[in-house]
Amino acid sequence: MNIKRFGNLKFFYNSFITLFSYLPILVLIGFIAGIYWSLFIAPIDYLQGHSYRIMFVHVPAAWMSLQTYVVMAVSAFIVLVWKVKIMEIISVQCAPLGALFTFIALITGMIWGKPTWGTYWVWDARLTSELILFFLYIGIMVLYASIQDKRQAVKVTSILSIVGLINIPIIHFSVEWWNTLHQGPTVTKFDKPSAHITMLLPLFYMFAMYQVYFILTIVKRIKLGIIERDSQSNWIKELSK
Amino acid sequence: MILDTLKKDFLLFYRNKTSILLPLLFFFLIVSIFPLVLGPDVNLLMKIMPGIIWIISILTTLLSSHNFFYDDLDSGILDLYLTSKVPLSSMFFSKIISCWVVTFVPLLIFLPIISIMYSLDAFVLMILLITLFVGTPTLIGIGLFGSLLIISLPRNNILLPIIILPFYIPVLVFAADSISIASSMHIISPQLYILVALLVLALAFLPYLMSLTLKITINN
Amino acid sequence: MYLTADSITCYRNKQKVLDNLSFTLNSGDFMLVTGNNGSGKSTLLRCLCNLCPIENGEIRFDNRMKSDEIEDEFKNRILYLGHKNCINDDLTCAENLKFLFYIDCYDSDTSKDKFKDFDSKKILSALGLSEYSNRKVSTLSEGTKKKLSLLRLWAPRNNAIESNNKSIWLLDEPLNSLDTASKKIILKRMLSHTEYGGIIVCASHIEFPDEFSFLITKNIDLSK
Repeated sequence: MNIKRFGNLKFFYNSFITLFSYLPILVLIGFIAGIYWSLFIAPIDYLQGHSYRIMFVHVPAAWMSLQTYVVMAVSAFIVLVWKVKIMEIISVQCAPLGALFTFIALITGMIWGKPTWGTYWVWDARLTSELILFFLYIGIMVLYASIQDKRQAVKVTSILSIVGLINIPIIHFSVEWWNTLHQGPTVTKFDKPSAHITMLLPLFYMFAMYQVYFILTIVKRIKLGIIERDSQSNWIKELSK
Repeated sequence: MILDTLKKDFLLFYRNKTSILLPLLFFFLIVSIFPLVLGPDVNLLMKIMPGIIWIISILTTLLSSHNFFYDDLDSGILDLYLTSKVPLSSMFFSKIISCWVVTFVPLLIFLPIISIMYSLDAFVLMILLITLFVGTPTLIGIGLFGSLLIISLPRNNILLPIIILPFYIPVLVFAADSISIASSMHIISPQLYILVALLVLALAFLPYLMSLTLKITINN
Repeated sequence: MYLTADSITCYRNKQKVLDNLSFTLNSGDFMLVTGNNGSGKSTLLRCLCNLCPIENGEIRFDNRMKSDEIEDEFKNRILYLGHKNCINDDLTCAENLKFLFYIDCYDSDTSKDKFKDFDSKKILSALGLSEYSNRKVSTLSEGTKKKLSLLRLWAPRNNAIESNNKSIWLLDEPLNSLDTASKKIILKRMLSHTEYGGIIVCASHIEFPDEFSFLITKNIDLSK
């Protein structure tokens, strides 16, 4: 550990601790506002009725689940090639967050499925690939948790997540193909392109809130990660006094 | 280098003949258990047999790839490879091949006999053999890659499937699709081409990834 | 030719194993690494041959930094005999030896001709193993296996006579579980290696035989 890297972590810690201490409340208010907007202000869908409104939670979560994976794999790549310490923490902490997003997407998708398809689970291409994505996240988390030497664990999970990134399009492609071959009961698609602007606006607002939540959580985790990793170093010891 | 490693591995398999027999026996046992669970309905069995064979292939792959490097790890030969100038990628390439040969070649040979029990017709059997021949090396490669990821851990049989199974899905899907499409007398389906593409991709990149992984995991 | 370790620090599972260790070895040096169990003898050897990442400090070879570019050069020069003996139980002694020599002598261009002129019987007889030549290793005792693995010191590329050979030996407990006669043979082999200008780093926690103590030119005690 050379002095420069120490300095980096310390700088990062100090500059963000003040900035982000009051943000969670703002995000909570933002989320409540978004849910109010999507539940009461946005117009009713003439095909699906009120049940479509869960889309405002579901669709951004599904988007975020993929985006988190990309962020994780890209930072994993940076970890392996340039050995940047901050990226190590990011790539590790993305996995549980991504799993959370996939979980939300899966649950809300199931809830939406009940009135629309008449059953909670349908082997629809999107739901299936979301489920596989969930498994990928679980695999990465399990691998990280089971390797004792965390320095090694970061690198090993980095390789796995990069390979996973290459694999995700293939998985998606294969599941799509499988689905069209077996003509499942998927007739209605989730987001019709004809969605009106009054529906799209709250959708994008919710997506933005998810983004803020993602960034906020990552920064918080980085903070914790720094404390954990450099717990031996002097500046942390000074801090805890 | 590839040939020399293969020669040594095959000599070891020859000395240790049970290592060839065990996957085969495992396969045979599970195949015979399915009718006991599902009932002896020939039509049903004929319909689901290819799927069953593929699932058992995955189980066999997981079992044999999980243990494949432990001998080399325990005797320090993995350290030896790392400290020598041996090209690790070609070493791992030959490991994939030898692991595949010892696991699946006996199985492919005996599959026609097993298929009699399910009264599978020759055409479906041929398709099944082709997809297995093209698909299983990819499975073995991914399995060996996964077993290297966790090689520094205490021996744990359940971890490898959890990590690796999502990566098996494309191979599985395309293999199953090419079997179900092929019934209409078109042997070569686009899915089969994709299986070949996946195989090429796996054989091209996995050895390199494995050497990268080994350098990281063997460092304590 | 010289090997320098410049204030290397190494962690294992968050515990500091090596702390700010520095030394320089010139050709002909024999460094004995002593210390209690768990004091980091094996870790030091593994750091030197790149099997264990070092947290801080440098390992230099002829004053060049150890980096990816000269990693091949390192692999060319360093012979590592860990405490695992790299022996395959299902092979015979001769086959094991052939495999070990093959790996040790592997070089993308020159492996073939370097490897050809080797007579396994003759090498095996160096430690009195020629009668076991065609026996499966699984039937042999631990000491015999150890001897077999130590025969790597006789591999064609593992001597200091030619300039691009593996002339830096890292030996982890080479004298363990050996009888007195074999110990002498091994020590004589080490002596001739240093006389030709090779470097030996030897980790050992057992008493070094007195009549060979003149071999030792440097001594590091890691337990302090």
